[in-house]
Amino acid sequence: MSERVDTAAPRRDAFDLGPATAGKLGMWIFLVTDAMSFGGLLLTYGVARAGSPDWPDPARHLGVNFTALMTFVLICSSLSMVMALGAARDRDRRALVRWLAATIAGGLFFLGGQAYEWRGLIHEGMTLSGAAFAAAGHGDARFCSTFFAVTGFHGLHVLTGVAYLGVVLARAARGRYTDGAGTPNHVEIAGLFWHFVDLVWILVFTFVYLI
Amino acid sequence: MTDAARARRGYLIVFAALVALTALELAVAQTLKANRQTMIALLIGLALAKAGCVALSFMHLGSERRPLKLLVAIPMALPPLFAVVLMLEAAWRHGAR
Repeated sequence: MSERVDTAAPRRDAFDLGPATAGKLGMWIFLVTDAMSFGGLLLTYGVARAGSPDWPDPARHLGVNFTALMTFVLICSSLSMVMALGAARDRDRRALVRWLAATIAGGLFFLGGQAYEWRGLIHEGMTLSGAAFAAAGHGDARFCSTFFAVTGFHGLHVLTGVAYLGVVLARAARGRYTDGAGTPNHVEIAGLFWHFVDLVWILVFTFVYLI
Repeated sequence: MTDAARARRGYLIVFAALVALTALELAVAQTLKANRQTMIALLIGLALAKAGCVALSFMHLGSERRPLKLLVAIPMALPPLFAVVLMLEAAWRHGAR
């Protein structure tokens, strides 16, 4: 019996991710779960604030202009990260290393700025419990605890991202992603995490500092 | 113009848009304090626009296949939905006391 040869074009699998690698898919899944964590924190903040009769005005207690500068630097670091990926795809090792270094510098500036901001706020009486803040008549103590929880959790992500990019930078300097059989996949995956950190800060800056 | 140069130009345009939207957010927050509901609606809209720019352009989600876009978009739609429900409930409970 002759075999019937199917010459029709192969049907695309319903879950065809195209060129996306397993690593990229894994990072996206991780980012979605991490977004749930941040979503929970921001929801807590929103519920506490909506139900509080004496929530302080953030503009009176937080340094909005300085934080806007930090936001700008983080956006710049997101640009440098995507430029780094472009350099990796062009197999330009020097440009890749430069752009990664610029991204890390932006992250370190952000962390330094956050440490400076926290130091000033703690000096003015804002602590994790908010007890002194509320006792001084400034308003709901949860303003302090939600602020430090949200910005602290985000700061941990920035710190982790800086460390992660440091490893990527060290490997990039050795030609891991540009020379020989190296591919830029890992740079792209690290870049997803960094852009996520920037994206979350965009939301935190709006909800915690501006509204 | 090569594909790489075109891509870089696109990233710079998105970067400029992000900076402009951030400046606009600051202006809205400082000038619309009297009209709080409008201010909040505008700020949320601007934040979502900026987040969309980062996700679609810098994270290349815009050029991914549909299954991956849905994998990200569907779970991401849940927290805002919960937020609206929970905040309305909290405001109602505060008003009912």
